[in-house]
Amino acid sequence: MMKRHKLLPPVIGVMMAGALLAGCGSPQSNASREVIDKPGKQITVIDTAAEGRKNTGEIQVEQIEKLKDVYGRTWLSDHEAIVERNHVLMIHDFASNIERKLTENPATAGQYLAAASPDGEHVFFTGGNPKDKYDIGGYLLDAASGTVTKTGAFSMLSDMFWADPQHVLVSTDDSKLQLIDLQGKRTPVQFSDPELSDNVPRMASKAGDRYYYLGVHEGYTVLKSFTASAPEAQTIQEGVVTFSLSPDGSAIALEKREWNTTKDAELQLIDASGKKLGTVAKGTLLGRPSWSPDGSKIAFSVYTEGEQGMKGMYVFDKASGKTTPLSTEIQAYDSPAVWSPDGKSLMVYQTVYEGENSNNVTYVVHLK
Amino acid sequence: MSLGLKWKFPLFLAVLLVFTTSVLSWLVLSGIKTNQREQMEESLQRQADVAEMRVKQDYLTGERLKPVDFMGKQGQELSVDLGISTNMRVILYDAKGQEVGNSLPLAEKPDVGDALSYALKGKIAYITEADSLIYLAPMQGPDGMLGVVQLHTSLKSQHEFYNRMAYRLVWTGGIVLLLSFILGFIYVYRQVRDIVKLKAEADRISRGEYPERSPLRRKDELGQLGTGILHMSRDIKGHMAALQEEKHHLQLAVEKLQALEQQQKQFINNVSHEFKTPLTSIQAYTDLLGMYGDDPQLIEEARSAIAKESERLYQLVEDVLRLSLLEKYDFESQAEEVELADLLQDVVSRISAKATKYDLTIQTDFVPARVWGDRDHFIHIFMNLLDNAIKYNQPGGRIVIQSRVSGDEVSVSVRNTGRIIPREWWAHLFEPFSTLHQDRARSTGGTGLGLPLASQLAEKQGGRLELVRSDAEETEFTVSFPRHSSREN
Repeated sequence: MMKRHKLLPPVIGVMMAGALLAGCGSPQSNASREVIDKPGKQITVIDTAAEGRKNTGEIQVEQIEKLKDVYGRTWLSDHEAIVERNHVLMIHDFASNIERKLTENPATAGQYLAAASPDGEHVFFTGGNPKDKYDIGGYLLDAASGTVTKTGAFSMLSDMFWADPQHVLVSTDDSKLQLIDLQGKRTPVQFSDPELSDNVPRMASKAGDRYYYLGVHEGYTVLKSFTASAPEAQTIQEGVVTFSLSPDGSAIALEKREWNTTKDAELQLIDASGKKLGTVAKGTLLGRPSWSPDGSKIAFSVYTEGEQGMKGMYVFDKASGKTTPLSTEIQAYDSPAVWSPDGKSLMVYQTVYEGENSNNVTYVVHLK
Repeated sequence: MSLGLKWKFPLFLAVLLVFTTSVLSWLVLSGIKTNQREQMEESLQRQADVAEMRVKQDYLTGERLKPVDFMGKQGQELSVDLGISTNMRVILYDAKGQEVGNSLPLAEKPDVGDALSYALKGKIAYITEADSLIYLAPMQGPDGMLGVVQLHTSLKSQHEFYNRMAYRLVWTGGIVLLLSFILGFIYVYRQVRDIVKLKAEADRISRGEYPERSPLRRKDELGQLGTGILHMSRDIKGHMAALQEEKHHLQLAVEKLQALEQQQKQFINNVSHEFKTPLTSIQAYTDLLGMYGDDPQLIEEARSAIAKESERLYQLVEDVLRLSLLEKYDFESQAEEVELADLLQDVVSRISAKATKYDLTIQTDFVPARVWGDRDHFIHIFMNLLDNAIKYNQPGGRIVIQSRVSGDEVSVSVRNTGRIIPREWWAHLFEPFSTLHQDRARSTGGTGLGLPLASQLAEKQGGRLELVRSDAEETEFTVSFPRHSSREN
């Protein structure tokens, strides 16, 4: 009996120590790690395939093409893109590498922006008045027939957004939104936003019967929304710098920034009601995000100061939640990337500085 | 040999402390090591990823070459660029393991054959050798492996940090261990000292030494234990004393009973013997009268003898009765104030006829003195003493009776010129039927109970009877009583 009692404390001590060491021991339980001891040195081998660390995702770059001195604007088809070269809109065929003019007889003095309709049958583009190059007008091109329809003046601050295959949503300088149909007829969108005053509702977008735009609240930009039946614009998210509506309108990717702080901007996903779904990325600089046509991916540029953090262009896969870097070289903050209709190619332009010369380069990233 | 608590506790404490500090140090150091390795791996992996991305996008951009050709063409330029951006030495290999670029081409090149073969199989491998680390990571392209990037970095600062921490842990651990051990030892020593005190206290109690005060002056459990031992010791002491007293009383009672039994046997023996003697004499005379009833001289002699013997028997019975009653009951004596000189004069006048008969002279010398007691008892005492003085005197002898007052005591002395009472008899003189009486009584016709009776009566009156001297010149008995002052009443 005495013997047993005397043995008990050390036994308990050893058991406790064992539990302690087991609990606090090396957290490295990775079976894919192997350490080989050689005289005077040690070789550690990490099997990256076993860790599933990289190159197993579905997003892989096939090729990156560089087009110098052009602005990539929009995709006409899976292999044809509309680019602006020397103020002329050209159709660049990546299959043949041949370029041709978008319109044979330009009624404009210079062509600038272009956005193809979701079905690819029409292109809305802007051009200058030959008499006054700051007098910009909007035009509609029927791709099949080549017919161009004038749609009237186009605000330089406006974006153009194909609300559906028949309508383009634009903003006007007098704080209004208009829908332009294929005949060039403009219909004002009825809504009220007392805080907008004489600001242009920027990045106006539409999904279903709901409109979104960047408005102003107490001097800061906010994301606002209204519908035809409830035309009083409501703030659904504050501190929004840019946003992008998913094709089906179910989600919004937005750059959120706390004003007057040095905190990193966040690329967040919210649903249509403004509820946060998650954070995709953080960075000192963020480009406007861009949804793939099927709404499964978001492409964005990001730059983070310091050694760690994201730098370059990334694609976020909504289904897997995985963010894949495409290139560290591409960092486009002027305009969003444009996805080809099949979602296999991305076009984006940026200014590249080489010494004292600056050059505008359009990158086309082909994915596998 | 078994270690005392004084050593067991501190040793246990020391073992526990050594164990705890070693486990803690080990955990901290291994945590640092793991953390360093993880950070290093993470950082290098990031750098390798950047390098891979850089190489890959160069490969993907523009005219598409075979990976091996691309690496051969661009390798040197890429390695220099990467060396600048990563601030490390960068060496690039193509997918066949051929070196295609080196950011520091003139620096010494360590052998990385083993690690390179792993990297070419698509695994990350790094070599740690002393303070340097060479990290090799495969670079994948869309058309399979592009090659391997090799990064050189130094682990010196990490190792220095680790060694510094280990050094500090050993030192602080040692100092903490020592301090804790000393403090723990002092503390435990004090506790054990008190426990030892308590043990000594318990030992003392088992030896029969009972403490008067609690050995500890503290309020906690040990202090309470000390107080408890004290209480227990007091109880034990009390019980032991009570037992001793009880035992003593029993001893005394037993002794008294034994003495009484002895005395009683002796008394019965003596009494029966004393009774037999006169009865034998009477019986002898009645037998003689039966045979020679017509002899007038015999009749006269027998009458005289029988009368004498029956007188003696009567006296004997009376004395025995009186004595036994005195022993058993407190007589309801009729106490009164007695003028001793008058009483003595009365007694002397009653006995003077008998003295004259034996040709004795009585001299008296009385002082007035009052005593408190039963008059009859006083008379009996003095009659007995004077009767003895006559009986045991020699013809023509003298009797002196004298009373004196000294202080609060009145004493009466009776002296005669009688036979010497041997010294060895003195002690038993006042015991009933002691052997000396038998001899004396037989020759003088006494009962042998006179002196014991007188002595007991004197004690009843608050006095005492003593034999003061007995030699060739005279024998003196003194009886003294407390002097009675009438003012007290």
